[in-house]
Amino acid sequence: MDLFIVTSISMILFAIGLYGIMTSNIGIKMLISIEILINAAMLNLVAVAINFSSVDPLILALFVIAIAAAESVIGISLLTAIYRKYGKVSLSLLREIRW
Amino acid sequence: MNIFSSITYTLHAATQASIYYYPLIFLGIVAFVMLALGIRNIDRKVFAGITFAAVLISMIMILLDPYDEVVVGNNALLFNRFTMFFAVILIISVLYIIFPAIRGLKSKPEIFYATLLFVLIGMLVSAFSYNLIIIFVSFEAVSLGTYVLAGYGKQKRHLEASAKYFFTGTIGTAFTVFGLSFFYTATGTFSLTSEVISSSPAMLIALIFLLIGFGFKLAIFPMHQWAIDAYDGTENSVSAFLSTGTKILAFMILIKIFLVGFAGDYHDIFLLFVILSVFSMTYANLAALSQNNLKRLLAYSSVAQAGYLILVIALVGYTGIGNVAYVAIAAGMFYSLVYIFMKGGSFLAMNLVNRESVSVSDVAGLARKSPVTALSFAILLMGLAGIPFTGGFTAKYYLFLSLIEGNLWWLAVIAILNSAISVFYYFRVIMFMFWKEPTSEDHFNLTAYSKAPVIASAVIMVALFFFFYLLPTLNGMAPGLFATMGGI
Repeated sequence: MDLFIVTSISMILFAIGLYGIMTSNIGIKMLISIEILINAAMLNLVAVAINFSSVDPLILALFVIAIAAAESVIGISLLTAIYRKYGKVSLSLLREIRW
Repeated sequence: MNIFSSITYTLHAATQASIYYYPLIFLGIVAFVMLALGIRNIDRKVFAGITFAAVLISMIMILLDPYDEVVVGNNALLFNRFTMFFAVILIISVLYIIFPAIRGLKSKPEIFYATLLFVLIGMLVSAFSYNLIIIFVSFEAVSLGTYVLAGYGKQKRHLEASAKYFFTGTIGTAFTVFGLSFFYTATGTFSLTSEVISSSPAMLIALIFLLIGFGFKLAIFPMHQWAIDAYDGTENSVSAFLSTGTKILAFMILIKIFLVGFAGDYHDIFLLFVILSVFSMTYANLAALSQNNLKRLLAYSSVAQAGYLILVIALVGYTGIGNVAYVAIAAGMFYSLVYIFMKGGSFLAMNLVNRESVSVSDVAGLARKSPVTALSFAILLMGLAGIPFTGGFTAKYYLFLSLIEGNLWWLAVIAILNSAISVFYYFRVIMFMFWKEPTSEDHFNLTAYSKAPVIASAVIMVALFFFFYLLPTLNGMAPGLFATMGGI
């Protein structure tokens, strides 16, 4: 497949993820949007790997999968701690830090 | 056959360089042993002592290594004096938050210190690496660790700071991965060598995405908003670490990626970094002028300091690789060393006040309670402003001198004007300490744990002023940055 088409699709996915982060205040929604962002980048990595018939981007993609999993673990544990304090996971509740 | 021979070559080089891995392996073993010790009910001071000893031993191990240009694999790891210098700086940034952190550790201290050691391992690996995959993975190890450290106390403020840091940080990660894929599209390699001479559209996209991704951690102007809240909300020692360790790490990675990996695209780098640096300095200094919260003031000042730091990248982008570039990089290295002491020390000085959020009027009358501590804090603030007889003056002097040597005198003028603005808000704090009455009597926390790091870093700050003779040594180390580019 043409690299240009796949890159365009991954760009669109990336934009969708950014839109999701900017418009939502709910922690779980933001985590899902971040997963979309990272998966968009990974799609592009795989397309580049096929285009160059090289294995390096695929190695990076494997590492990114592991790192994204670790990131969601930390994110979910953070949201759990927030839920225990506030009773909700809405990030608009976080208003302790003011100037 | 080809793959097989390359694997055997890599293994051969890896065993040759095995002496350089000992500090990393040692730190990892200590971290796991500490996690295992956590099932016994041991005092937190013991854990702090173990961590301090381990980090100190690993620093001595690194300093004792020969460091004569050993390359492992295809630029996967590179051990020379430049990478060693940044490794030692990053170790120092971890080393002196260990004991001040004790105050905030209510439960499970072993997890805090083990996480700190894992973060340090990630920092060291990315200091030594010239391969984007390894840099990315180790940088993410650092980021994941610092998300945990930021939310460690589990109070509302800590959780909010950690959440803001986490969400901006992961967005930065996504940008970095995307930028890396475009970097591969343009160059066909992940190792940082100057293989690309001309600039292409894919290279420009990679430049911008990688700049956004790592700029989030460096907290330069458009990507700085999380940093103000995160430094304000976290424990004092953790905010000291976030504003020194991870910031210097991001600066080092930016130097490596943009000056080595994008060697064919220096013109765009110059334009981008000049704009970002001028905006960071000016915006942060103006915003800090009207701050009443002392930690937020220091956070804004660290955004401004990041603006000074990336002047180095702009200058090298302007002049190209040569003697002026080496002087600029040496100035940046010295600035990083001084920055760790002055910024870390002034964030640790927040431990002197027994309040959750420290405002400027809270330090009023500190000079009457403890003159030595007040004087030390004043020296650190004067270092941040760049006033003589502190290391901050020497660092700024060499930075601006290298700018003038590179014919960027107008940029030097902007930077000097910004330092002049910054003097106002630093001196406001000093004025409150020395000439105002205290608001209440018993809100100062003048124990040895809070006083010692401030006094120690002030002494080092004054000592660094006289380290003029360090500059030729750093000048000799600076060409090590371009070691992978084949003898330029």
